[in-house]
Amino acid sequence: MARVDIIAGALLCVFGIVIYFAAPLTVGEYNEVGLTPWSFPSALAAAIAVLSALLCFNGWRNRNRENSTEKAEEEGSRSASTPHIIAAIVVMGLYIIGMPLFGYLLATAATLLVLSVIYGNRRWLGLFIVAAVSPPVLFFFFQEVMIILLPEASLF
Amino acid sequence: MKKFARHLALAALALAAPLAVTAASAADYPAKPVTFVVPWPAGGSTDITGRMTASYMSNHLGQAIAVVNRVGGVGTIATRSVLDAPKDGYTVLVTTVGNHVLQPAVRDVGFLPRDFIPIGQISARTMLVVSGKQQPYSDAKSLVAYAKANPGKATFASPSKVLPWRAVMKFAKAAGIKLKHIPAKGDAKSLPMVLGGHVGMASLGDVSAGVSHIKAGTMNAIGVFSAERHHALPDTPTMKELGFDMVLVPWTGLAVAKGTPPEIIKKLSEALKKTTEDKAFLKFAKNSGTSVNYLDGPAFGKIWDRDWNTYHGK
Amino acid sequence: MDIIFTGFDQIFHLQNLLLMAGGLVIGIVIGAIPGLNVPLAVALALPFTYHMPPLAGLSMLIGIYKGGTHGGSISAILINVPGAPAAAATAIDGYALARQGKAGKALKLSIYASVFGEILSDIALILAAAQLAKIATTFGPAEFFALGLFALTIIGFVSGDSLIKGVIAGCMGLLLATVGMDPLESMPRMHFGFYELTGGLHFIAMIIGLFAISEALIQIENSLRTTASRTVIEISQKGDDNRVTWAEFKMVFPTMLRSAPLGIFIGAIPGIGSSIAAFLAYGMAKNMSKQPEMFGKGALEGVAAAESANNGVCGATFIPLLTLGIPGDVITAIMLGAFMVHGLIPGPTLFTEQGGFVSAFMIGMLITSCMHLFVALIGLRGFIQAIKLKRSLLFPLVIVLCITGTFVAGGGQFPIYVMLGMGILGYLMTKFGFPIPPLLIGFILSPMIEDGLRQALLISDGDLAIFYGRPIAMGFLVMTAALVIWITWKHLRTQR
Repeated sequence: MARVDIIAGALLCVFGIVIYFAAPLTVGEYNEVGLTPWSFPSALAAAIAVLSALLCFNGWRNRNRENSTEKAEEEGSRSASTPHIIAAIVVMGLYIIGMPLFGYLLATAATLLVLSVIYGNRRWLGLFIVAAVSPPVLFFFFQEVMIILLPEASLF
Repeated sequence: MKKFARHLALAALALAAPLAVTAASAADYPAKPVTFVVPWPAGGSTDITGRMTASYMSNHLGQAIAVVNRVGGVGTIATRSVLDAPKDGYTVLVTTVGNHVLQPAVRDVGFLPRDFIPIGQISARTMLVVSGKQQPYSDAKSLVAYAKANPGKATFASPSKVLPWRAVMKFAKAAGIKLKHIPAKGDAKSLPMVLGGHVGMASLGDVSAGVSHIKAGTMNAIGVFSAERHHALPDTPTMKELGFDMVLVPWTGLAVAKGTPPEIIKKLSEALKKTTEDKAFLKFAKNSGTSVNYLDGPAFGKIWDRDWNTYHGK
Repeated sequence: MDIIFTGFDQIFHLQNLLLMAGGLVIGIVIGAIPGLNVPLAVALALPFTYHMPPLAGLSMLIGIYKGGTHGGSISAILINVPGAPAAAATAIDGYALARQGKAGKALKLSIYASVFGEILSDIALILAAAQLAKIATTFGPAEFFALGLFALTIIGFVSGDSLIKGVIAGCMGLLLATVGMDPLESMPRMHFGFYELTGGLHFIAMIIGLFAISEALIQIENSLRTTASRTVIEISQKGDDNRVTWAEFKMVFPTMLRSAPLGIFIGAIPGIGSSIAAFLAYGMAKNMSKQPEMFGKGALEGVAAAESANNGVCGATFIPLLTLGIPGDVITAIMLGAFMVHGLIPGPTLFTEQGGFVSAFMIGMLITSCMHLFVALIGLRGFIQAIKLKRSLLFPLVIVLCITGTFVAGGGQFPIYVMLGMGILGYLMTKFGFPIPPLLIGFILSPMIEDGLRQALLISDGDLAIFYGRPIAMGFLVMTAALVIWITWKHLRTQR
């Protein structure tokens, strides 16, 4: 975990420093006695910066105490699934963008199909049935029973 | 990896399904359900008014009305979202003085009250100031005397930059006293502080939060900011009676974005007017303690202008 | 005492009883479905109660509240996705048990613990509402600040292997909660030019992202591994793995007996909530356990502590609501609407003017808790069946439900992006070995600590005597300091 700690520690340390200096800039006018609106966020950002620097340092100190076989195995499984995970995130993003364009029903059915494929599902019949049945069920429940309007297609 | 990509493509191909097309125009409005956007949380007084109006107005409008709560940014996020929605009359804002006039008056929120067209006012509320039993003052007179003798010692809790806060500040200025404001997120936060004696007073957005405590004697009423006494608190004087010429009334009403076709506005206004005359609605409102106070669009707009002039730049 | 009996007539109507049962079913199901949650369910059900008699409507809402608070633990145990933030503590040991094939045991234990906590809480409400209400008003800004800091020390118990990572995650949660409006000035801060961020990060969207979406992403790895089973967990066929034995029950009962009163205490103070109660109880159970090393690896006490504490909050939140008119959490704030609509104004006069109604309401709470046991045990089978769905179908459904649920909770597209962002954050945190519960704890406690500190300093004009001059505040601060030193010392000792 040492290498991971160094990366995470360094990134978080930079994040903490940036937020520490950026926090006051986000506040407009204020009239406070004692603590300002940015005191609390800035203090926390500073704490994150210091603690992650410590984490980074600890990781560097322990860099040789690593179980090499375990590491290799872990690396291996991670790199194999990374494209799938990125694909899943992209699909979710497209779903959110696509919902108001294609309408809830179509966007949901498509997302279900694609996600299930990413998860390794190749049983096409079952997949199509789930993708065809579940969006209308959700749509009916929310829009007709609870009267919460779901996005409708604006593109067509 | 290649196989995975092929499967993805296959799944995408399955989506090429045709869709039914629906188009709406001003003439056949409302052709689909209308949405009421409430800028305050579910269960609060604006939410109750909004949902109550929606449920009776849908009969007069001839369409279902969906109510959504969009909370955040002291109500401004919901308000702005209505301007961003299509100006077709299907998105209606349930608006209050706080999000609609006060917020744009104190900071840049990306809209002004007149970016909207008023449909009508539904109700007006009564603001109340209460003080704790432990305090050395129990009414306006003793409060002024105490505050003059001990400047800045008397404290009051309310959210910042909302009408109850503005009202007490105005009162203090008129009485020539100095009160210390302790910001608290809402009535639910300021009430326990008053009960426990941590702050002296609370400025409440609606009498309902204080009525029970005043009747039970666990709190004292300082005064109300309405033009007349509230029926639930017949013994509590108005600020005007106390010699401070100030009437501050939080209102709730409906508005749509500027640019909405006039015939749609007409339909909405008529439906709202009929709703506020609906006996069932009035009975329901009375039960829940809402004082229905209908004003038509132009009159409601004048209230906006009046309040804007009161709060802007001060 | 007479007044309690007048309540029986009013509550014992078939309609009320059916609505309670219906509310429980809705609550458990909504609570168990990732992406949907109790505040949403209560908010959605509220308009229906406007047109019902007050007791009928409230019976249903109580059912939803109680069922939902427990329902969140079902998905927490079965797929490691807490259906409610209060179930996040349950997930730690519940899911570990489920992975050993003992899902049935964990689920049943969570039902027993929940119902036990509820019943104790209802009894406290009925017998000691007036006394417990005093706690609510004794807590001023200084006390909230001190209690908030004290509650932060739970991070030390839920951080897993690396304390420093837990503390960083906790700070991150505290920091994320500051995005939006400055609570005291009502001015925007930490929005970095994004106008939508002035509304803050939506709590519901955050929870769904951090727990459900991140778990869904992690499960992609599992589903790609050829050796892994096609379902998320296997259910053991051994009888003893699917029930709580008498010996086990006797072992966890003291934990339940300690955790439920803790939940009641937290519930009586407005503004803290069931998640903090659950984590506090979890920390306490770990501390007092004979086998603290089992925590995180499937300790029955962990599940029992978290569940009896979070459901112990359910009845007690009505103490400040009914006696003072002060809602203690989001759900009771929504339920306040159900009272107000019928002209019932909670507060001291409610007891004198509407005594019959109040006693009927309280008895209703007790009946709902008893019904809860049976409804939950019957419903259990359904959830066990649902978990037999293939992973590759279950998690796409979970993702779609999360996105739909966040959309339905209101706020348009933006909260969904927040949810997705938090999902990615949660995934990265897990990959880099950062525990997620501290972030949740920090996020919940942040406003309490900041508001408390700043309000207290405003009241005292910057004089720190407001903290050390008050016994409760001082007591919590001393306990906090002692715990911090103890946790750090223990941690440093085990590292060597």
